[in-house]
Amino acid sequence: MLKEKYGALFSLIKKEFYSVWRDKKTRSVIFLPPILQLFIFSYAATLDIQNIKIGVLNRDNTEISREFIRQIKSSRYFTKIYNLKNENELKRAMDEEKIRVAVYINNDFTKKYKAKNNPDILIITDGRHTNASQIIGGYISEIASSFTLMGQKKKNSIIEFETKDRFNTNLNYHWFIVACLTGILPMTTVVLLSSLSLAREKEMGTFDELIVVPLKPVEIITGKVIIPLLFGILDGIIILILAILFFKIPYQGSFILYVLSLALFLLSVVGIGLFISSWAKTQQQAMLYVFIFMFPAIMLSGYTTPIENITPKALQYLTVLNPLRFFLVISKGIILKNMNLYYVSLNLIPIIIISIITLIGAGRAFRGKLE
Amino acid sequence: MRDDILLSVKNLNKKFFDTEVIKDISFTLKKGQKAALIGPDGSGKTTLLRLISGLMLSDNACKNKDDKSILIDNLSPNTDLLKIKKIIGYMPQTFGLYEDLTVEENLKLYAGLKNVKKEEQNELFETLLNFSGLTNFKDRISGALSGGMKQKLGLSCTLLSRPKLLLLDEPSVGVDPVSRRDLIQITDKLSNENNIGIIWATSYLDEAKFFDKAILLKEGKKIYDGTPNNAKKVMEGLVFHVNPKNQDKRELLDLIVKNEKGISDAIIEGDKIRVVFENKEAIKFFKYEKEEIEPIFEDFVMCALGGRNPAFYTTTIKPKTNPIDIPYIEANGLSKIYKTKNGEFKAADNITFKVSRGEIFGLLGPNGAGKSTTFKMLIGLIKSSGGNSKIMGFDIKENPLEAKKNFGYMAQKFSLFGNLSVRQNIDFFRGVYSIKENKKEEIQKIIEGMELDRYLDKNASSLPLGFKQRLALLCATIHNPPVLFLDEPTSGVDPISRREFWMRINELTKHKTTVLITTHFMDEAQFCDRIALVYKGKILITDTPDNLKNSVKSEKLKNPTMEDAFIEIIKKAN
Repeated sequence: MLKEKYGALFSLIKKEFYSVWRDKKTRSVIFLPPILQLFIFSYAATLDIQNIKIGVLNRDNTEISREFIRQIKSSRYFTKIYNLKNENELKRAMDEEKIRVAVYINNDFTKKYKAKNNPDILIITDGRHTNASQIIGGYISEIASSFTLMGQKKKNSIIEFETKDRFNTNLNYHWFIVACLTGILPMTTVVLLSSLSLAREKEMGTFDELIVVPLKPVEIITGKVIIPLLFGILDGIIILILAILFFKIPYQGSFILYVLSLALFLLSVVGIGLFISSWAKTQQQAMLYVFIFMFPAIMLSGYTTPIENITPKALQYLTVLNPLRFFLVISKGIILKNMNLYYVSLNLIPIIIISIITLIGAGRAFRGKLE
Repeated sequence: MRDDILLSVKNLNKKFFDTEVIKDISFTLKKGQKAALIGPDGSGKTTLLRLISGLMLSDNACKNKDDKSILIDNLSPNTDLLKIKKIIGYMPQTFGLYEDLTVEENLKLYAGLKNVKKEEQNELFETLLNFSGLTNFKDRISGALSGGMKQKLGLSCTLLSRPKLLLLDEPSVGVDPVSRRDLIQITDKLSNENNIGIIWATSYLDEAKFFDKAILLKEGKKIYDGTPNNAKKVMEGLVFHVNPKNQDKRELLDLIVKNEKGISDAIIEGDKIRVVFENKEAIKFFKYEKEEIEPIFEDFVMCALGGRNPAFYTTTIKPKTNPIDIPYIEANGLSKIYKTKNGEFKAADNITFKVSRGEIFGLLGPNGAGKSTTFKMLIGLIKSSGGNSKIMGFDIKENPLEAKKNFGYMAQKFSLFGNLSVRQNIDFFRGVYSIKENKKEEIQKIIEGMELDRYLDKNASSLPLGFKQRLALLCATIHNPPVLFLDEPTSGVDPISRREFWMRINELTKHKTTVLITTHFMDEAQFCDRIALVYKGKILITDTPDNLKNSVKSEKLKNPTMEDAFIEIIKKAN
């Protein structure tokens, strides 16, 4: 009975599977790029600022100011220190990007320090690298304040800081990236597979065959959804396994909850992919549309920039259309901190709504093309 | 070498790895002479043209730089390629038009590529546009031109360099009869007025009669080189009409093909069957009443190419349903209106016809006349703006699933799933039509009958064209449909495979399958019981092939062919 009722659909799904699997190029697109990108992204795209080259122009040149420089040198962020002789040299070193940051110590540094009269130093950073400069500036101020405090020895009035970073105690940046990639990379595969599959049929003329055989539009859409979805989930699981085995991510949450959320998230992506391909006449066009979709989807997901930091604010509102935004919360949540069902479902609801909208949209666009 | 000889080919050979594609071919072409190059797929037509145009080197030319197996105006492509490029024009099968540019922009682009001087360009364009009848379309985007017009533009671009020798590779594929005739007349005028030598490769055999000589290739060998008329003479006394009288013509054709010996070709021509014998001996054993008729060039070609494939009539797909007393295909006032900038465009306007059980119904018409639109509306590929289409009584819009279960569809270019194997293709269609397991054996027999069994695990895209066609037909009829829709099912297929295909269709109709077909081949139109001629979105006339031919009989046209009828009726409508 089951076979009689769903036999046609099953044949269609089998056909979809073969047309992906038997094509060497498509097959390799599913596995190779995601794994490659996992390694490239997690090694290359680190937001940690390290190995900084710094220039020092020391007008003071006393034991105390030299001690301050030694402190900078011994911190783990700075690898190379250039001793600069004058302002010109400083300017040139910065122009040539020999140094990222320069510290200027005036000749009254020791005097003020001894007089406990708040000695000042000038930190010059390279504004071309906005983000990095801010962070480096922060590093140096931190060293400077602890240095002055040390000299002043007013222990009783000091508030002592103790920072504890939860969920990622050592602020290991890989953890953040890999947790995000478990969403981003399967999304790439799925949007490509689903958008290319219809476009390819149109190009080859086999789309007409699908319309002429006795399949309901719902069945055609279902057939087109399932295979990209399954490959996407497979991709997600492979990446997760690599993350655990290779990147040693301390996987915290429920595996079933993770796969379920991934499936729902990818369902919304398939909807977008099918929507794209119902507009594209050729595979080339579909590819182009995929790129137009992918960049904003990643930029507005909270992966590169925290959503609260996105300006203008209108763009922040736009992110609610982006299923990736919600899935990244879930994937980071489940992987790094064992987020519970309640919080996961809070983020799943918008994903489900987006899935419904995109799938209905795809279905409509698809039926529209029949007319 | 004689002065009037433009091209001489002598003992030409070409091997690709171990396969010989051109075997010892020699022929000559005089200045201003037109030759038709004819042969099935893979017979070496394109390779021969590419060798002549210098795009490829022959085996001898590879070994010996001074080889003179090809001489054009006393120049050899392997030593004087640059000079030769200036005197030949080569138009490949799909000419590289820039589809986003207008007609004129395409001409300008090619003029630039061919170093035509700026000051000469405008005059030359005007002549060429006039010549090809494209003057009124010069600002149109070339992608929006019809197939025939695209070919004319391609030809114009090729002519920009004012060649002495023109090589055209299947310029008439997919072009309707009216445009084909146009294209032939254009080239005719060219060779007469400018003394241009022309080689025109084609798989439309009926085109040969317009040429000074015909060169016939088979498996890389030249098997005929002479005038089409002489070829016809060879066949005199071997071609007959058999009148089925009270017998069903399709059953009779089946009997003749299966039981009679020494027959190289047998086809339906209107009410009669045209039978071509291999030799005089064979006629003696033929037991049906017959009447001698004048042979045509096709008869010779079929005979020379070795006639029908004897193993092709083993398909036994019969329509499953019991006969019912309604029209099997019904179009009621089908219309399709597209909104354009300047109002409306009626691609199909109130198309109405009925096709009854067992009939073969042909939709004919020039490119862009609305026959594809009609065809697509009938089976639900396009939604009609008005009217309805019924298949076995099921409305395609209201009851699409039932309607779809009752017909099979074979698309142009046999759109199969290319990277699925033959078996997987068959399984897919078996699955979507929910065919029971117990039919597997029957299907297996058909697979063997079609000789598809040795390809079962090959990708469908890698099959030879003739086999793709067989697979497409098998997939389209796997559910034993009472109705079959065929959209230019033989476009680009060689004459032998086409005959074979039609014998299969004949077998299907013997079992009362109803067939609706679109085609550009006039001999296929003759196969139909009735033909509807579509022009400018309307049906001009619906009648039997014989009546259509008779309707254009005149002093000038005493014995009109199907093509004549087609062209005359369209002319009258203008």
